[in-house]
Amino acid sequence: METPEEILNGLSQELRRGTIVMCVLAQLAEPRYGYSLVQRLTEAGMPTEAGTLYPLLRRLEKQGLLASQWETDGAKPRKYYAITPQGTEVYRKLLKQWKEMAETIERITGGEEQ
Amino acid sequence: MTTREMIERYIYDVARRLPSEQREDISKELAGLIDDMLEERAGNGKTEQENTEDVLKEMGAPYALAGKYRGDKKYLIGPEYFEQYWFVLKIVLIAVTVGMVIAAVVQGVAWVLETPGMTQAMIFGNMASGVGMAVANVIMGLVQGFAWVTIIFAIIERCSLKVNIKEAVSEAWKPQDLKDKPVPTEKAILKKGDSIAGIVFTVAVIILFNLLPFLMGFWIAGPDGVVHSIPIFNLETLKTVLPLLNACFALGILREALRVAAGRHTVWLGAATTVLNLVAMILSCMVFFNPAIWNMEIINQAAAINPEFFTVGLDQLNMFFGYFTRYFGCILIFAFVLDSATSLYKGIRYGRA
Repeated sequence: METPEEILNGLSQELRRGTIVMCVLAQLAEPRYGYSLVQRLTEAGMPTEAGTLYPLLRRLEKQGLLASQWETDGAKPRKYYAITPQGTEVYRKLLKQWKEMAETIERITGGEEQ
Repeated sequence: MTTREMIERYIYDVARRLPSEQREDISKELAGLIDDMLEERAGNGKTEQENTEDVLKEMGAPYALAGKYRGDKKYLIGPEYFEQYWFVLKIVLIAVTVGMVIAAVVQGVAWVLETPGMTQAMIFGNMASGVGMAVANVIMGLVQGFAWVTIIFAIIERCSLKVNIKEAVSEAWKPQDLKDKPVPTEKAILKKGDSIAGIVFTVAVIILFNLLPFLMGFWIAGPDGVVHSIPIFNLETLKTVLPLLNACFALGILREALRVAAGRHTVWLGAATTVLNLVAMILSCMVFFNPAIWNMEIINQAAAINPEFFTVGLDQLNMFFGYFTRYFGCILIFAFVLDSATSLYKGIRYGRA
């Protein structure tokens, strides 16, 4: 049997999985490389493991929401990711839906805060 | 192992699990990432060795990281196919068990009849070893059946893209589709149990024809009390036509499987049944109308073992057996036609709203 704690963990992980894409897209209006994104997300209170983020970036690139480019000018070569017009479109709609959902949930739960 | 080597090995261990065209790119990216992570930790009081280990630990086992990159399916058979998988598995396992048990019992009986002059101790001893063998065979059969069904469904699962494309090409489901699918009346429903019994029986017959054909025949005790079996078929010829017979049985199993899948009489099912039956009928006619398949000497051979066995004249019996072999195919034709006609009639009668 799962303990209530384990159940809660699973549920909140599912919630996070859906929202992390939104967070990533939000940060990539200008090109960033993977680890700087990890740091930014962590600072912003959305700690994400590199082992999760890096594969995610590649997936989003494959889906056409991100584009990438190797920068070899600096001290070490880095792969920079930036949002594509298609990605921006998806991000905008996703964000709108998220806000609506947040409002709806707020209404349904009656704004209870405990 | 230096820290540099450790990192190299880690990256290699991830990359080797990835498609070759992505290896170089991901390796470079991971090298950069590890470098950044180490840089951030530099001057935190730990040794380089410790920091490297921490970083690699944080990134996780190479196989796990590679799995995330590949976006692997983390299951063998997903929810889409699980229900069908479970259903087929049950049928296969039941059929294997029943088939094996029947085969074991038949073999045991054959052995008792063929071995003269047994003591009670021998019978018990052999029965015990026979039961042991049967249990072992059933377990082996179950394992094999499980493995094959699982492998086939795992392959279907991996190819699900192709299957789904088919679905995408055909129209999406819409409530209007229900127009042609009325809730079947009691009479229109095909009972799963009947079909499963049919499949199990067919499997038993397959085993009988393929492995124990000598059991089909006369069992006659000679004057000395020893029981002999005289096969009704010419075993040599039977061996050569086995592929035809097995095709016939396979068609029968397919027919029952279709019935289970449909779950009810429909015109379509009736038509499919008729086509399958027609092919099976042609095949079985080719087998059983061939005089060479029968052991025409059966009566004489029986008489040679125990002349007193027959009270009627041998000529008469030979004639009777001749008729039997000539018209046996007709019985099969009758059965096939009856089944097809019933299926078609019920399909048309109950298959519509």
